[in-house]
Amino acid sequence: MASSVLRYDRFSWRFETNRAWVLDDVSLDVGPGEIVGVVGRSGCGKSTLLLAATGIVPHSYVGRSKGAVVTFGRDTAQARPADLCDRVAMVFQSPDDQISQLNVWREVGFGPANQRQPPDEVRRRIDEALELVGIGDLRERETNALSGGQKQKVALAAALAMHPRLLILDEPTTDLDPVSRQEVLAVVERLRDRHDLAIVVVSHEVDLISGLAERFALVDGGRIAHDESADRFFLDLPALREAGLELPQVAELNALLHDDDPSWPRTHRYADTLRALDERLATRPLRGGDGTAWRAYRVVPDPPAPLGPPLIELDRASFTYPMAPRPAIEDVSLTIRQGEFVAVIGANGSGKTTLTKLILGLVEPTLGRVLVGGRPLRKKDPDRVGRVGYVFQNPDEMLFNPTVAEEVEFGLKVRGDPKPQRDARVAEVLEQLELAGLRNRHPLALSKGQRQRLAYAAVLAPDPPVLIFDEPTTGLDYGSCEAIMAAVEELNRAGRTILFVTHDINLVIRHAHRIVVMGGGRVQFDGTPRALMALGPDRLADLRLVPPAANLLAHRARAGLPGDVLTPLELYLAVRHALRASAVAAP
Amino acid sequence: MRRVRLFYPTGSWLHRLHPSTKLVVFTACILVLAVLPWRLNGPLVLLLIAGLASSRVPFAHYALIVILSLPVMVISPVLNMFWPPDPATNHVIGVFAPLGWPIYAEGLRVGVDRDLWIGGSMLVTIILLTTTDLPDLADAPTYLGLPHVVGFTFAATLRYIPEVSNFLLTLYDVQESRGVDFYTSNPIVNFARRTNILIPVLVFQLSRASRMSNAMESRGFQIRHTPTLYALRPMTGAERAWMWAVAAVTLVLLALRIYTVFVPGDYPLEFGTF
Repeated sequence: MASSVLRYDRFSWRFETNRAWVLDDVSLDVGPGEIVGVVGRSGCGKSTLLLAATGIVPHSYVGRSKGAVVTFGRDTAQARPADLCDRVAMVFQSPDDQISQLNVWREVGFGPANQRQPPDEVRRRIDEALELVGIGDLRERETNALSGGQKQKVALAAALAMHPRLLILDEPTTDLDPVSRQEVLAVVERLRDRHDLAIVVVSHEVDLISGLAERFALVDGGRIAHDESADRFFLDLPALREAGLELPQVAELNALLHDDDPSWPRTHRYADTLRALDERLATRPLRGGDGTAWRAYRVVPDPPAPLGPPLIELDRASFTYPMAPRPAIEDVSLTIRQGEFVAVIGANGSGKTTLTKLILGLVEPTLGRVLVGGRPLRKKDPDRVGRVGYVFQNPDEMLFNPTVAEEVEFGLKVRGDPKPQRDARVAEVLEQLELAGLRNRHPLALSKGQRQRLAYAAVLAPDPPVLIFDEPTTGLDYGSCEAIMAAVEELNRAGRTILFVTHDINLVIRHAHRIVVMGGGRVQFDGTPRALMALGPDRLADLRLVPPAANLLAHRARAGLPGDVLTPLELYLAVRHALRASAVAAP
Repeated sequence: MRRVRLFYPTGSWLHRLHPSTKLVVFTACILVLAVLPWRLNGPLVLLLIAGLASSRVPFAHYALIVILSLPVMVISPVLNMFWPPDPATNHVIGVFAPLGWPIYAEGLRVGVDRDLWIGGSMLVTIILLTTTDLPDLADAPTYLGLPHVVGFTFAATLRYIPEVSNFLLTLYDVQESRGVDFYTSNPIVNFARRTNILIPVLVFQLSRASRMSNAMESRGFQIRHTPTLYALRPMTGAERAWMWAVAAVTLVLLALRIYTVFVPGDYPLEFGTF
């Protein structure tokens, strides 16, 4: 295609350290002003695809390539990233990896100044980009003092200030809380009006970008498995599911309704679906009474009533970090019973991490008290590892022993278990987690999946009754998230109490028994997933939460669908019921 | 730790002074304090105290730095006055009665000399950091004509100190949650355990440096091309004169000091001794 801004021409790439081709015979064209979504599971080659578009691959990595990548008519094998920077800009996954300047306006001006634009033009572009992204008020702020969402908006403004004709976004919302994600996506939405700007956005969160791109490419095993317009792409949902991707909720709902009624629109667009619901359902309220007629839609089982004794008790607990102007946790009272599966959610800085530190005994409350198993947990308690286990986001950061076996044995040693007992338990846990053949290997020499299992093994070996998971699914694709959730549910069924800290509301409403929403260091909500979803999008926005699309449709449709639906399947069942009721009401 | 920051805006004459001038004066003071004898450093330190007072930055804002420096400033004269490097050439000016220890005049002088050096350096650092916003300070070397990489490195370092420190603290938390005790009674064990943590920190920061350099290059950053944006206002004539005068005086003092090293003798104000 002569008018392509970016063209992959049978391009293949492999890193020198790996014999497998990360990208294999990729052909893809991006035209001017086009918005293309690139999706695929973690590790499928999406990010490498983007790095090749900017020339970072091959110039900053050692490897072998075949074919060519041509950006604005220049072969990236010849043109270095800096040679392409007047036309191509990239926003990386983590804003902390790209923000190098100490305040916002300098950061935004960094690119144009490197492009050697005259100083007045640089200043004009800084103002223009800040205005475009809607962060003019952050102009003089220090970059270190910004929240994650603000940093990502600054990174976006910094890219736009370079006046690119191709903007590349690599998982731009992965590390952000739900509201910040929506804000960043809203900025990208606004860029659609700039017809001269082509955008390539990579994400494994298909649902999140389903309404954004006009065209989607599915990368699977380093190859382009599908490359179609958005409308056609979301018709083949089984292929997406097979590729380990999360299905867009709207597309999933419409596929189910379309199976019942072929005249129902097969769309993945939220606005079209809402319009269809409003047109086809009677507008009289269908919710009402005690709701018994509606119970049939509840596919996700109600959580069991917590019957076990209290295991974690926070009694008016507060904690203030030294020299901090206000408490990180303020007057929190919370009782978690044995066997509960509690999700803790909330925006960045809401107090989630400090809450877990209090429970773990890493910090002691400045006011009130925190009890685990009826007594406080302190750093020096030798049995601490046997009372609460902590699984951190990145398992690599938990591993520090020279061998796999010693890693698993460490907690038992700290607790003072005798050697024969330790050896037996290590063997048992290694067997359970399929690591028995690796017991003498160095932990960091294992594969990523093995390292994750080893981190779990190390925490599980002392058999703690309470397990705290700190954002273990961040950055993982749908299939990996579900695998982790299945493992966590298994541990919960085996009697362990689970505290699951996350941003992903969509994930926990399907799995947790109870959700605690933190905000400003306080508990803002404490109840079942259904009770949380029933609050409605406006109240959830106050809590800095964004409901999944299925729940949002239920609230926004005029027909008064049940507001506590948790999944597309539940909404489908409710809509089917409502359609029948409408058909009866129509004559 | 969210950020590295000591700047305290008051609008004083020191705040208004061009950051590049302040950087030159700061460098000059550090060099001069290191080579001048105590008889000359004393007035310079008094001048710095007056300068700091005129900045109108409240003492509480930098009290922690002063408090942390005090033990060193007390220890230096005490150690030198009781245990000078060469007691044989020292004359005793008194005895510390409770312990019967002799007090050596030369040792005391060396101690005071070191104190003036440490205290003066501390004062000039406080003045620079409390009266200059860090981004302006990072721009100052480029303004003075040094390669832009110097300013970029300075800014990036300040930008990433809080990031690395937060990462380190997170690792401590994660490992403490697994039962690692960093506060045993054995300092060698504690040291070994803390060193263990530095390995993942180093690995992570190396991979971050690689990601960061990719991001910088994709934004056009090149060693051979200086960016066009100068954030700092132009220097006034007075500021420029100040800067050159201070630089000239410093060069003269350094030259004289080097001369006294090669031509030993009896110079006024003990200029030839250190």
